[in-house]
Amino acid sequence: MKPSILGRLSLRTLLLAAGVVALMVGVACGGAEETAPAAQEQQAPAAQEQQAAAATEAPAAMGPTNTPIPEAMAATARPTNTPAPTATPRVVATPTPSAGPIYGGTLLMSAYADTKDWDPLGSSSLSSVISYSQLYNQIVQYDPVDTNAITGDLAESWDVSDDGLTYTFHLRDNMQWTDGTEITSADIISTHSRYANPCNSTGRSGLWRNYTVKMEVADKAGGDCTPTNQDAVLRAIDDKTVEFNLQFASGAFIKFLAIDYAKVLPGHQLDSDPNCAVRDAANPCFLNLGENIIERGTTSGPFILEEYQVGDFYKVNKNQDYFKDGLPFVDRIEHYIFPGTAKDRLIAQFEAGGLDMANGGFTNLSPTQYFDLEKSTNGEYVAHPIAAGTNWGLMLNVKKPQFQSHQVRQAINLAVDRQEIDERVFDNSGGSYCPLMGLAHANEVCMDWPGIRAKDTPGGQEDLARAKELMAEAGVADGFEVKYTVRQVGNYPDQCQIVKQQLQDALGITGDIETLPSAAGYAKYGTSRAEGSSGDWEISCQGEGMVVFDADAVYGGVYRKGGTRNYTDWSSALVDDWFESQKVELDPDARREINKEAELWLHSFEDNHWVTMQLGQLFWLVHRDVKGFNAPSTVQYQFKHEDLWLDR
Amino acid sequence: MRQYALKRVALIIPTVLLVSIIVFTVMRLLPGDPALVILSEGDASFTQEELEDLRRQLGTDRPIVIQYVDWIGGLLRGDLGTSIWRSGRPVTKLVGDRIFRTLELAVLAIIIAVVFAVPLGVISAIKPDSVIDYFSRVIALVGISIPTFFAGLLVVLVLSRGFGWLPPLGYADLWDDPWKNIQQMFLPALALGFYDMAFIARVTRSSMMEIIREDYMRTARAKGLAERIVLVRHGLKNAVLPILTISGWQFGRLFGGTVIIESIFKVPGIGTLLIETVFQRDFPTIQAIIIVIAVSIVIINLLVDLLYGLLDPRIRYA
Repeated sequence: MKPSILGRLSLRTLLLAAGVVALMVGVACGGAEETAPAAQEQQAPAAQEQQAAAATEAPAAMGPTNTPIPEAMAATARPTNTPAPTATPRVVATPTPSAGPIYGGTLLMSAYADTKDWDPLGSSSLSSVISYSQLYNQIVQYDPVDTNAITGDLAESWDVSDDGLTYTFHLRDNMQWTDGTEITSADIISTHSRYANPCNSTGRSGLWRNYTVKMEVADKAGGDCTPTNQDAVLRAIDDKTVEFNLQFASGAFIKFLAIDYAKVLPGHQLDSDPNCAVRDAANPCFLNLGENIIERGTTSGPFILEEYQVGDFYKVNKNQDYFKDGLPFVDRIEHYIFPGTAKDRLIAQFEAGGLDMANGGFTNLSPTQYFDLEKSTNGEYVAHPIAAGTNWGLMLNVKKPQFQSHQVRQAINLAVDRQEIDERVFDNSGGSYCPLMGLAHANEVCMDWPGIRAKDTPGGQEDLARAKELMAEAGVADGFEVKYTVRQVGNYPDQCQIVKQQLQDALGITGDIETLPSAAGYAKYGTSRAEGSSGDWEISCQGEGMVVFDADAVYGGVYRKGGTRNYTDWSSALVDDWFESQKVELDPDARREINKEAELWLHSFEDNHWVTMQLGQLFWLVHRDVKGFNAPSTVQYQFKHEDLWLDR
Repeated sequence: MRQYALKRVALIIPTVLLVSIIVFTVMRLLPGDPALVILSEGDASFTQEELEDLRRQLGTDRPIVIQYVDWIGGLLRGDLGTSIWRSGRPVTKLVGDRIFRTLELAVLAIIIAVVFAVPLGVISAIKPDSVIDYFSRVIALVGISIPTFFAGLLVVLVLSRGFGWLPPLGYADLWDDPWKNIQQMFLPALALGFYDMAFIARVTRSSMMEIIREDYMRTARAKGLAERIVLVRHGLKNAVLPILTISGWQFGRLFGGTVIIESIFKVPGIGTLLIETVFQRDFPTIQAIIIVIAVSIVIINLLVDLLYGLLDPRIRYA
């Protein structure tokens, strides 16, 4: 018989244990902290509110306006924004704010990958521009309400000469860097000279230089990159006026100048050291490190970088001295990095209401996952569509022996089943399958082309048979082995998994998939840029987020030497000629014809490095309580977040 | 006792030295050149000469033995080197900024594990084949069977889907905002400590079951001692040695296990830093993190051994 004390003891022990459990669970689940405490939220005073409302609801009325293009220019300038993408955009109602903007609060955002660069020079990754965009301004920007229109940022207005060759920007007064120094033309000259300098990679920050007079340097081969004709490219007329000179009249120039990559950095800091590219934490002008910006950086944007933890988060605080009166509305933004391997956790965070929005139109989720999230949260989150999202492609390292044969590349182009990828990876949300994204041939036309047509049709079967013949002609009838190198971002691993199976089944091309975090993946792709080096990768699934929806952007990103997604610096004199002639063509129909010719050639794969999969539609996930948001037309801009506020 | 402690402390030196050699060698044998990784940043083009220059700057062009001697010399002076990827940032600062979070997570996990496991094991032992015993055994079996990362994911999914709640994102310092800190750390610690709780509960149960049958327990009861005193002073005290051994060993495992849990719960500790730096081939940082983890485990084991001596005189005087 057990003593009675034993029963009492176990009961006590049990109660104690239960108490501890209850206490700890209580502690852990004791309610989420208010992200925007009522005490902190301050209804804007009447005058401020009016100003702020004007800023969010009708910025065109308050903000700087585009000086009308002179008639002569209007008549001759070619329209740059070509037809809308073929993917049918979903109609999403943007909730009307219940009252005027509310100041204060903290916005919690998800980031899809860690930041690669904090300096826009040569920058070409979306995750980077999202990070640094909040810290700096551009000369001009896309309008936060009418997201296709361009409005001033540092510039108050601008003029275009009658011949369309000179853009003169007039800067606002009373703008200052966070160290109190005034923002002047000198800052623009310092920054944009770097972007224009042929010694530096174009990235996306320098895409506008395709239109301006080319900058010449003293001796590029000898390492002397001092510009010899800087004034012919861009020059300061006075402290508040800057002039850019174009090679030909082009409306595309200003579109590339307005993207968030083309930031103006503090000239006085950049010029403090003759060699700002030296990687040294002690070098104050090396602004490619978040830590340097926090400790020594001078910024101008609506937010100031407070903390950056590699791979985890970055946090920004409101710039109290921001030159745009009344902006930004929120006090703080915290960005939490959820890489491609953390999709489930990202969904869980949104379902638990732990995030207010994604910080860009890319989150690693599939279209179906977005729609499921809308449903599971009863519409608390809205997935705003970005129709001209990404040019998804299969990237071939043409410096590697396996892909030097054009027959092998042709075979791959014929064997890839685009429809299966669209169905299994993109939930049939894809747009055009054409190499120029529907900006040349219509998608209906491309759908009948070899390689693109469905594989379960007689034509598709012919394509597979022809692909095998081409492999035999190249001397690799039984296929070969390759390594797929993929960033753990979005659906890239899924895309490559399916492509790998397709190529294995159709052509006997086998291999393993190596997945890497975003920044490490970019670094690996970059290894093939070195002269004489074939790099550390062979084949990859990649995407070129559309910068502006224009053929120039497709050429510039994928098919031109130095392009952001042209890691082997593949080039073709034919493509260069087509690019040059279409970019100066003022007649849209004639321009389209040139692009059609180029597109046919690109798809023939007589020589090409990029197997186009499709134009992908992306989504920007935003909570209904976040106001002031309007979806951009491409995925590469609108990251300053100065117009967002929380209706809570 | 002093001699015993000195002997154990002296053993740390060859252990850490061996770890340092293995880590250093393995890092150099891994494919991937940090200079290439750095130069490829920003999509920049570079020449072979620039590549060799950078290798010279980083010191990776020197013979591996020289590199090792340099590094170990710095280590002895308390200098963990500078990060290759983070542009010369001192590794001590990089690791120092995060080590406390990882340590906090591991300590909290072991506390949770012990607090839950010991009562569960004891009750299970003194009431064998009871409902509580079965419950305890099932919990222990589940805990041992479920990998830590899966337990973490389960916690996240159950909380978000079932209760629409997850710990606040980020990290609030324990001293600045203890309430938020506990909210953020409790669930990761629970997920991390679940396996250890199960393991320790099983060890406690079996250890207690043996002790309960000992003659001295019967004698203690026969003397008329209260059951609580019999169990705690005579039973648990004698059963604690294996529990302590397992807990100490598990704590070391927890320290390494935080890598995955930190990533699942987004705790910015050295685990997440380790993952990032491995991909960046940031040798000095990786080496420093592994050395820090190794030294921590060695120190924990040393403390456990010393505690043995305090708890069991036979070990102390052996």
